Order: sequence, then C-alpha cells, then structure tokens
Amino acid sequence: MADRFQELLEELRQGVTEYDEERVKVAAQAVLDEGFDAYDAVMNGLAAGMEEVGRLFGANEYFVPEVLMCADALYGGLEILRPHIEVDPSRQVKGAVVIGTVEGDVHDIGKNLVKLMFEIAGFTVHDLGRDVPLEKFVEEVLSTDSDFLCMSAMMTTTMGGMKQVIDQVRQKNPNVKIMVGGAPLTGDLAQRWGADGYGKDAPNALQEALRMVGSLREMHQEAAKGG
Amino acid sequence: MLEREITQAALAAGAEAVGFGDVSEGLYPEFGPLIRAVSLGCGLEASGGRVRFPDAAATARLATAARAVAGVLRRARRRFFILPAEPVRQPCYCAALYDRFSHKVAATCAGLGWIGKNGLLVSPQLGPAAVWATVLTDAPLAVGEPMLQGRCGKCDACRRACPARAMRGRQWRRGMQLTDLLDLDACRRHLGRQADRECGRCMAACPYNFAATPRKRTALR
Repeated sequence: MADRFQELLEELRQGVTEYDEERVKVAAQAVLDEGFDAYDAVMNGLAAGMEEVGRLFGANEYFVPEVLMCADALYGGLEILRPHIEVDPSRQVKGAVVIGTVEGDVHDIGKNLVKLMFEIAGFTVHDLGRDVPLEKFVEEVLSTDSDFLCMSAMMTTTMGGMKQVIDQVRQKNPNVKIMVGGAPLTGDLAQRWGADGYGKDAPNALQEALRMVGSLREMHQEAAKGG
Repeated sequence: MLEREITQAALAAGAEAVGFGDVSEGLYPEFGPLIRAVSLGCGLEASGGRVRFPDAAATARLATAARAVAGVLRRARRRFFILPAEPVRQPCYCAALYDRFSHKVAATCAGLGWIGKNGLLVSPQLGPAAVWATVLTDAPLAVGEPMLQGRCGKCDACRRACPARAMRGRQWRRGMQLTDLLDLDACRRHLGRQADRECGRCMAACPYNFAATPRKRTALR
C-alpha cells in the first residue's frame, strides 16, 4: 500500500519534471481512485517535482519554455487533486496573498508561477494581474488582511515603485511578508528595501515562494503544537 | 530521418503542410536553444465562396498534429515547445510565450509560403485561407529554403477587394512589419463596423485561394 503510494508520488514528480501533463493527470486520478491522500500527493508529488524543475533551471538544463510546460503539467494534476484536499487546520495554511506586477510592467511569467505555488500550498490568492497601480497593492493587502505580498517588475524604470509599496505597507502592517522579484533586482537591493524574499527570475521566485510558504507552515505547526 | 518521422506523424495526425525552418534570427531569448521550427498548416473549410474562421476542426487537427510532432521529438530526446494555432482555447502557463513568436515567421523560414500584400501568409499549397501552428525545437533539422520576399508579383486583387482600403500594395520582404503592408487601424475600424466582426475579402480575392475560387489560380499564371 505504502509502496504503491510512493510509486504514484514518483509518477507525479516525474510527470511534472518531464512536462507530461497526461501522465500527471493519470497519476492524480489514481491517487484519488485508490484512496490516497490528495494533500500529500500535491505537496510530495506535484510540488516536489516543481522544486526539481527549479533546480534544473538553475543548472541551465531547463529553459523558460520547459518551466512553463512543467507548470501546466502540475496544474493539470492540481485541478484533479485540489477539490479532494481535506481541510485539516494543523497542516493547512490559512492565509492570503496579494500578487501582481507593478505599474508599467506587463511581464508576468514569474508572477504566475509564484501564484501557482501559493495556490498549491492552499492560500487564497488575490491576483491583481499586470500593470497594477502602486496604491492598489497597499489597499488590497489591508482590505484582505493578507499575510503575503508578492510584486514583480522586469524593468529598471518600474521597479522603484516596489520600494514605495513596501514602505507604505510596512507602516500600516509590519507583519506582512513581502516578496519581490524580477530581472533588474538584486538580492541586496531587495533586502535594503525591506523585502523578506527575493526571486531573481521565474523558477528562482518559485523556489523562494516554496521556502517562504514552508517557513510559514512551520510557524503555524509550532503554534498549533504550542497551543 | 527525424525529418521524415516528424512529417509522417504530422500528416497522419491531420496537418496538410509540414516544413522545417531556421528561426534563430530575431528569436526572443526566452526560447533559448529552440532555434528550429516545425511549421504545420491546415486549410480552412470553405463553403459558398466564404471561408470558415475560426475553423474548430482545422484548429483541432493542428493541435493533434503538434502533439504528434512533440511526441516524436520527446522520444528523440529533443527539446520542444508547442505554439498552437489561433484562436488559443484555454489559458495556460505556456501562453506567456505565445505572442512572442509568429507562425508566419516559421512558415516563411520553412519556405512554405510568403506574406502576401494582404499581410496573410500565402502558401502555394494551401492558399491564404489556412491556419498554422508551430513546434519549436533544438533538434538540428534540415531546413527548407526560406522565402525572403513576396511572390505576389503585380497582382493586387486583395487591395482592390478591401472595403477599408487598408492595403498599401507593397511587396513583402523579410524584416518588414505588418504595418508596412497594411493600415491595421483602417482594417480594425472596418471589422468593428461588421456585425459578425468578419470580412475576409482579402482572403477570398487572392488567386491562391483555390478553396473558394478555384478558377482564379490559372488567371494568375
């Protein structure tokens, strides 16, 4: 039984890393049909596969087209599994994230991948889309009481807006975790602006999102144990 | 070898035109090493002199053909990326790259056709009334002789047929923008006035549009 589940997890992982959507869908359906845990399959199958994709991209074995195909394969499996995830407060993160690309910027590949990672982790995602006015980010974070704010910019001319948003959000709610990304940024700059996370490009942003989601989940688990 | 396998797979899946092109020039850097294109075409259904667009059957055949080509490339352990025929159905992550490549580039690089004075891809095999899909790959495919300029000659049937007078009547050369050939705003304004948002007269008037007007082809020669 356990062996069979391991086998299916491996199928999901490989289906994602080899961008084989059909294979992912078949394995996801098998997870449900054979009575295994959907949440476990998402985290240790689909998400684990995507982590490997991030590594392959970092090693220059994968390029942007492959990463996007992997994301589509993952999503095919997620659509099947997600309705069957049982909400268990001890492991499910209850949180919300606001995400978008800043005013003047329409490049949203990285933004969409990060969004996917938050969706997988069970977050409510408020996607503001592309070319979002700066004040909209601040408003949305406050009105939805979100835990995370993710912004990206691909151009040096637009990235400065992110600093303004960080300052304004921090003034009103210092606990919001903020992640920024995009080619013109550096980790150093992101840190100086007061961001908690930084993703250089789409797959790196994805790894960073997984890390941040992971650390938040640990915090929740600690809190659950303590309480 | 691989070329033949790809061609057979594509034709068996319903594509009507298959060619290979070197698309490295001007390719968006996001595509990385995917500098070869497999160009796939399928003629549109025509009835009563009118061409059907969108033609769901043709689009579906091209989708099947593109998947078949990708399957051959996967088995050959080559990289691939499918750019589906328009209009694209569901939203997906891959769509982020769809508007960064033109099927016309793939088809002209593969030598399957040229850009007519109407801005449409004109293929001697399929005419202007066709849909196209592309599979980009890093496989070192033997490529066709690219079309570098239009072969419309003195014909300006499309320009004369255009109710918006959008065509400038210029012969296409590689590197030209669509706006060099057409007044796109004039075309859009006209389409906006049409109840069904269709016009297609530039397609129907083309002597290569044998589906709709089989006679005219001889007239051109």
